[in-house]
Amino acid sequence: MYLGKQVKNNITFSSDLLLKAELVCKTFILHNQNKAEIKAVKNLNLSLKKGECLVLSGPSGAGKSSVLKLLYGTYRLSSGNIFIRHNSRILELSGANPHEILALRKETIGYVSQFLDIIPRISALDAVSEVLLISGLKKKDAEEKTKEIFKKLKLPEKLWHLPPSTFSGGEKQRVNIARCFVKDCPIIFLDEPTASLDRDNIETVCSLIREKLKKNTGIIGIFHDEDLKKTLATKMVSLNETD
Amino acid sequence: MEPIIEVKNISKNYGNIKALENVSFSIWPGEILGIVGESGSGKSTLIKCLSGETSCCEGEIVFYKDNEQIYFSMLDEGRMHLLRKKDIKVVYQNPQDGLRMKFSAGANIAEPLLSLGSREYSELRDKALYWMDRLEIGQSRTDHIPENFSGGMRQRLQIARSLVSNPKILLMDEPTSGLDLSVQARLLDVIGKLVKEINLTVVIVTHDLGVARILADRLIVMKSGKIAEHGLTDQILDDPGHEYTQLLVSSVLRA
Repeated sequence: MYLGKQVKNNITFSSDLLLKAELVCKTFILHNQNKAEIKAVKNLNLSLKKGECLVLSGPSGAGKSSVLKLLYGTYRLSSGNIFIRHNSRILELSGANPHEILALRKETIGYVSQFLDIIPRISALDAVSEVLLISGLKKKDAEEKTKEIFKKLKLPEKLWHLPPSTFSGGEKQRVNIARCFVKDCPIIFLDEPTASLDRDNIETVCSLIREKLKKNTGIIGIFHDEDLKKTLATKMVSLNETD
Repeated sequence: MEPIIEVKNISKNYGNIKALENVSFSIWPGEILGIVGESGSGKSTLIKCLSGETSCCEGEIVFYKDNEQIYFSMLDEGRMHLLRKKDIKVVYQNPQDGLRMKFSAGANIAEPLLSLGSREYSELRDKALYWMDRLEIGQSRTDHIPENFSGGMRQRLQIARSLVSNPKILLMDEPTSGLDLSVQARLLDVIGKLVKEINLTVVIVTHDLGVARILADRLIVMKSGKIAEHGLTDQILDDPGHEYTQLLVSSVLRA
């Protein structure tokens, strides 16, 4: 008990450190399947500094997406600690209340997930500029910035005013990327952001990622594209299949 | 940030049926709190307690209004009535429960203001038109009665009528059930936008987990009158911890 507390108090968080995970475990207990236990993540340690691109690698089923979900607070920790620099303080994720986690997601962490969960009838333009409106930008400026990133991502102009539910997989994914990259947040999580994009678009996303790294954003990503992994990664954490 | 409502250990019995048992949680200003659970789990009773429509048998509900602390158990009928008229509004599943079906749409929206003492005709008309516009009801429908409206439009009219008094909290009991999907999407879109723009606090009861995912910041899962589990919406839906929540989430058909 005492030892645990000591570790917590003495955690060294150097000024360029953004995130640190210590001995993180996640076990799912399926109550309706005879309480079957699935160990998704076991004793994971990682840290992320400003301007770093940490790539999670490992075979499918090794728990790469689970790691991102744990770091984002979607999955609740079974044991271990996650510390994240949020504004001027260090937030410990499992001790944070829901509103602190919401603030963390709004101000500190951008997340490109594999799905786009937005209200069906909202246009692509509104879906993305909404992110900027929440952080206090004026409507006109928010729309300008949104159009800029749409142009960068080569999202056809005729789609801007349509709801993304009717888009192709690649178009949806670019809206999802735009929603994250349009704002400046210190940390970005990417879960296969280029999975349904063509070569040309992958290049664009790659250069957007480099731009962010230059601005000292820390990125943790899952990429299935080997070239992308090699060119972007400044650090690799490989996960093995757990039992 | 401080909560706008605190529910402290409330219980509600109907005869020997325990509809709510030791329920505690907080509601935060500007959030959308979803309440999910099977029918009979106490969701609607909870809404009735929060709106003051029925009183709890045990426990306390505290409403923090500006700098005032209002204890529900200490309110007399008159003050509770005023609270329900102005600050805490309910949107019912069936629009006819919250509307006057034989009054015009305009009158339906203006009536709450009239009952709060407003007598300026032009102001009433302006506000009615404003809220019709916000809820995407064409101005040409001002003088029509809701009996001739579609289900989705009736529901939007009910919301307009609820919002005209500028309430702090909107309690919605299954507002989208019974609407077809495109109409439901429109209603969700309207609700989502309004909450962001006017800093409204919303509690929404729904059995549709898709609606919950899109709209709610946090979820409370009810089971047999108790809170089975609560947390951020994605925590509950993607990492359900309670046996019942796991059953609920795994029972959903993915569209």
